[in-house]
Amino acid sequence: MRAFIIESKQPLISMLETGSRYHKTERQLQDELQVVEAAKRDPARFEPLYNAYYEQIFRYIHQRIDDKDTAFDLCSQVFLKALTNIGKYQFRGVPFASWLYRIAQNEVYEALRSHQTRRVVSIETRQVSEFLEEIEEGHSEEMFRLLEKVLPELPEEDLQMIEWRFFEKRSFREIGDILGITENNAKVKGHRSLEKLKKMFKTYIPK
Amino acid sequence: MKPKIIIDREPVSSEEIQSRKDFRKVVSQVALMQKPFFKSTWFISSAVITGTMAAIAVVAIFAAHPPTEDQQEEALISEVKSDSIPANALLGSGYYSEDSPCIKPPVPGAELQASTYTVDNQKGAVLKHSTGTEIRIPANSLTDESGKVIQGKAELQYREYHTVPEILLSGIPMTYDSAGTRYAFETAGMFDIHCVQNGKKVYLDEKKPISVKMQSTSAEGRFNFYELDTAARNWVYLGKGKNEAIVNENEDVKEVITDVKEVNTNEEITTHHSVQSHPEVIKKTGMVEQAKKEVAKTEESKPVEPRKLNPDKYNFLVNVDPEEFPEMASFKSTRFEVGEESKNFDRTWFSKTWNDVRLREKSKGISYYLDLTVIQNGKPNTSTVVVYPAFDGKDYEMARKRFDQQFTTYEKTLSDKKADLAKKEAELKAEIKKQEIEFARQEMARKEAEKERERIRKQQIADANRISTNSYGQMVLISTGNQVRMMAARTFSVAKFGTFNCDSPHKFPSERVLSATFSGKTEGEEHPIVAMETFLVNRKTKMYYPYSSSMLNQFGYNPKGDNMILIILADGKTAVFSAEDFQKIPNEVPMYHFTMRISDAPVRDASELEKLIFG
Repeated sequence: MRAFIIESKQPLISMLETGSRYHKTERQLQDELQVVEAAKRDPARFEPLYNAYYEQIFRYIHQRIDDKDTAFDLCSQVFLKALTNIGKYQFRGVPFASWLYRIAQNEVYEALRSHQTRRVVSIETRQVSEFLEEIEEGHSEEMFRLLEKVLPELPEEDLQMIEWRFFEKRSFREIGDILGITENNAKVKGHRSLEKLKKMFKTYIPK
Repeated sequence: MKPKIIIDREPVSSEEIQSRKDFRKVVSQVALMQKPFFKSTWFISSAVITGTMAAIAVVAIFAAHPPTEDQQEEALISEVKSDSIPANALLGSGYYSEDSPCIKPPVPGAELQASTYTVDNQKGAVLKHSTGTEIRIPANSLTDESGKVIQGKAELQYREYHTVPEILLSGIPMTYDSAGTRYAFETAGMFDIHCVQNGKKVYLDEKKPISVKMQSTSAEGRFNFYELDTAARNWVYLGKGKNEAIVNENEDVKEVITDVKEVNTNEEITTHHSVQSHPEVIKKTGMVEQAKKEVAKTEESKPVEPRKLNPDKYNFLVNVDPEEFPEMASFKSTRFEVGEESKNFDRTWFSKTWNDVRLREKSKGISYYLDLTVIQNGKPNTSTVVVYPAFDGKDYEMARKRFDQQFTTYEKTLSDKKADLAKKEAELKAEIKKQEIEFARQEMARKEAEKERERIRKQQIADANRISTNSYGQMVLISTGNQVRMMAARTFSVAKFGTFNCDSPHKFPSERVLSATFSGKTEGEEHPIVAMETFLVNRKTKMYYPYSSSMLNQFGYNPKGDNMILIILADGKTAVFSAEDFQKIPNEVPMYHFTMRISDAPVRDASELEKLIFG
């Protein structure tokens, strides 16, 4: 049997914990793939991936639902499904995390559909300010309240895009990887979602 | 339902998120989610053919013997076991310990065996264990489950653990959860005590606690007393605080450190760094020094031979104050001859009128300075000459006679003093020689005593081993230097049977933390190792840290420690990651795969494990 020496010059966890939480070099991708391949043969080998991604997957889920315990349950479900289906995982040149996010996204939708929990959008005041400046609406108490009113009206697909892009600061490349689309396609979708939001804003702003 | 916007939601802490991680649970669930064999294509097609034929018979059997819940559970567990771990994996002992008792020796049969003592409940007993521990059982303290005092004799089983291998092979959990923080235990002695009568469990009357005066390897006071709660799988702190039923009287734990055993020889030996520092030599050296001073003083008092006045030399007749110059008091007149060295002398001085004349001693009784002062223009002008006292006529004869007498006395005194000095010097020399012999003897005695101490210490350890061997029927007590040297006796009051520990909790090391995975090499092939517990042993501090599988993502160790990793496999073999291998772990790696060395044979007892760990 081949020995899997996981310590690399650019190790998995340090990369995940640094500013570039998602993007990886080719070498890093290959190292991660080695762990994935090992986990296909031995579930116990999945543990480094579990340890590396557990917290960010939990936070991703918790951002979107209103109950902490349910978020933990869903997080466990994500990894359970990932481990159960690891044999089906195919490397497509993108980080393993994108696959986990996709499972997490499905789990959240499933929980919402079955009314286990309620969809929430968790935003920090700072993010709202930055976002309002981004869409050139200016930051005021009135605009703040308006955003609270408009966001829930957005279709889920657009709301998701706004969350990813502006509140979670994900790159279009990462969003594309999660959605299984190209980076350019993600940009187009992101632009459309933002335009939709701006349009809705204008309908609410008194002339 | 529309989404709800939450501004500045309270974030969940990383600590809480980390605490909720449970990889093992996920692994276990994976097996349960595997597609059951009865849903597989081959089974369905086979079932179609045979199903109809067997259906009636199956229904009949099932109706007669429906499976119990236990059987269903068993089937579930067996499925977990067969599917969740790869076939080629090396399983650590107790991997499925959720279904096992709290205490599960990793290598059955290798753990210390309990000593059995017969106790007559109506009489009580004082038992002396092979380690020196004393157990006092009050009369009528043993009861049945209902609390009724049992009659007759019962069998008390007692076992005591002191070393890392003993404890490790005991299977007793050695971590302590306190307020969510997990600690590893450093023990100063652990024991379990149980009692049976005719195969039935015997209980202890809490009002009549047993006193255990346990021999401990440490006399330090930092160790607390804990009881193992086998249901909660955690240790219960019995330190000072609430008056629990487990303890006696008004305090939770009575800890009395007494009877510190120090190995001493009976001989009281006083050694000195050198012969010269011996008090008798110092004293005699002082006496010699004093005698020398006496001789010198006597020589200083040597009488001066009187000088007969030379008529050819100039001299002064000076009226001497007898109080100031007692040596000349007896003479009617003393003349002072001008010495030839006084070149400034002028004989015209005899015709001058001097305002002041003073005599100063140059060499007592031999020579003096004569200062002759005249006042000129209001200012004193002094001329000095060296003069020698000299006698003339009857004065000389008298001085000569006195000198002769004084000189005789002087010579005798000096002779006596010198004789005294010689005697004292001889005594000192003899004393030094004596002490040199004594010093050599002491050195020999000291070395002999040192040898004797070492012999006694080794004998004590050998005795302990021999006693343990005899009591347990196998070599169980391991000795490395002072490891089994009992330093104190700690007395505990125990009000129920169970497992007790005199421990000091330590935080797990965190100087370097990484995510750890393990595999072992057997017959040239590498197999994953899946273990419930992985032991990090710091050989320097003789501490070990049991890492559960869920803790391995935060595997901490001190790179400065003399570390090794030990996993005991299900077949009793050991998997070791050596201290030398530890040095090869690169700095700052977030994860590391430990390739362990697998032993050829299962570990048989604590002595083998001791050798494996400490060499």
